[in-house]
Amino acid sequence: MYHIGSYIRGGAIIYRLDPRIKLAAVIVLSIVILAAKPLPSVFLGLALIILAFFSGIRLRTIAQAVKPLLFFIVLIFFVHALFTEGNAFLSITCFGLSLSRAGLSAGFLVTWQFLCLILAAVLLTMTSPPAQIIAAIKYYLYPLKLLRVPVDVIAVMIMLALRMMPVLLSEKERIEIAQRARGYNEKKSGFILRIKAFLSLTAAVLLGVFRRADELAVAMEARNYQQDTRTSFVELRMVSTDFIALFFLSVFFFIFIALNYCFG
Amino acid sequence: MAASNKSIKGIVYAALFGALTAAGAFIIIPLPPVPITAQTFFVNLAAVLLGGPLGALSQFVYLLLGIVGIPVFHGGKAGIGIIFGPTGGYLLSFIIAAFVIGLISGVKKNSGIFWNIFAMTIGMLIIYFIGSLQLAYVAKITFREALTVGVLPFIPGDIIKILLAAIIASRLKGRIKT
Repeated sequence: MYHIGSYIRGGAIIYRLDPRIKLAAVIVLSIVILAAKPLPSVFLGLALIILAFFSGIRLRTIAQAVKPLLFFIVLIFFVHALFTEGNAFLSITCFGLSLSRAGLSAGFLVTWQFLCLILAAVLLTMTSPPAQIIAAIKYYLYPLKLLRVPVDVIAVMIMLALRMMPVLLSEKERIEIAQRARGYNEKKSGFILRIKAFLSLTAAVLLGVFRRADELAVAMEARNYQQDTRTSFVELRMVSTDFIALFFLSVFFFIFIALNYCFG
Repeated sequence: MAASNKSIKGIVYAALFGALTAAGAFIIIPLPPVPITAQTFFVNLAAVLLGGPLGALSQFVYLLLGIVGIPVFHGGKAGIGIIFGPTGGYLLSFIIAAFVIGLISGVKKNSGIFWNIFAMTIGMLIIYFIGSLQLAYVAKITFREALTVGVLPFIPGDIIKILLAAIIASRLKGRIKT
């Protein structure tokens, strides 16, 4: 899992933007990108890369965020490349698989869109401190309060879940190393042993993260966490730069949707 | 004091299982005919270990993670568009399924492995039903066609996931006291 919970201090304008605008931009992006045609997707991705460049986040940091997902990215690429119908120009007969031009372009498109989503999510979480993201989520969930949904609690839970994803990964790596240290060799093991190792890995990882969750609950209680309406030291207020950013984002998404129709 | 302690732990654990289900979307087992993900494995586990209400809450958190734009839906997707799309019903049904599985599992005080398998099977049927309903409606196909496309290829994988989840749940049962 990428270290999505990690906020990096910085001084660019994007850091000072209202988190509600950033969150809204990510939500809109995640909707439009799935309907995007190839050319507009490239355009969108380039815009994100330029934005990342101007926000002062180094390419290496982004690469680190993507690295744990590399296997997954390769896998979705091949799933789409191999299972999309089309004229095959290369077929591996012994597996019954075939590679087609349509499949390849579908694979590239899906992978690119996935990278765009990650980049947007990374940009959001790297440029906004957790408290601000919580405030933004709360703001958008506010209508649910009328239905007696505990909005404050849910906003906190989302943040906790975000923060726990890197913890899950490090816990898994720790247990895997422990298994190998005790002589478990994945390549030389039979099927039954592998299932057994998988079961004990899962159980051990879960026990490990349960312990972390217990500690967190105790820590929250020790700091007297209250669940009913909470005040926050983050007061969201829109200033002129926010309105300008909102305007430019609207224009950008409008152009993007128009492009999507033209090149369709 | 004891009561509030209970719910803080509940909140943390529900968030944890939301994160686990999200991580489950990245665990892909390339099994023929369709690659399966570990999401429903964690739906089952959350429901049995946390009980109905908290299990449902954990899945709600998972969906919100995706809606907020974190790519945690199957195949690295995100966004509210997925929820309203053809496969959104399967995701929405996670909440209801987790609730029902938790309830059934909680009926027996010491629910054994077989009772949990029964509860999880009912939960999977709910996921199949609601998911296929939306698939049929959005993709404008008949319910039967939706079952063939959206359920049939996944059954072998889901059986394996139910078995594994039941085994793990029986190992970890009693570890969580929310």
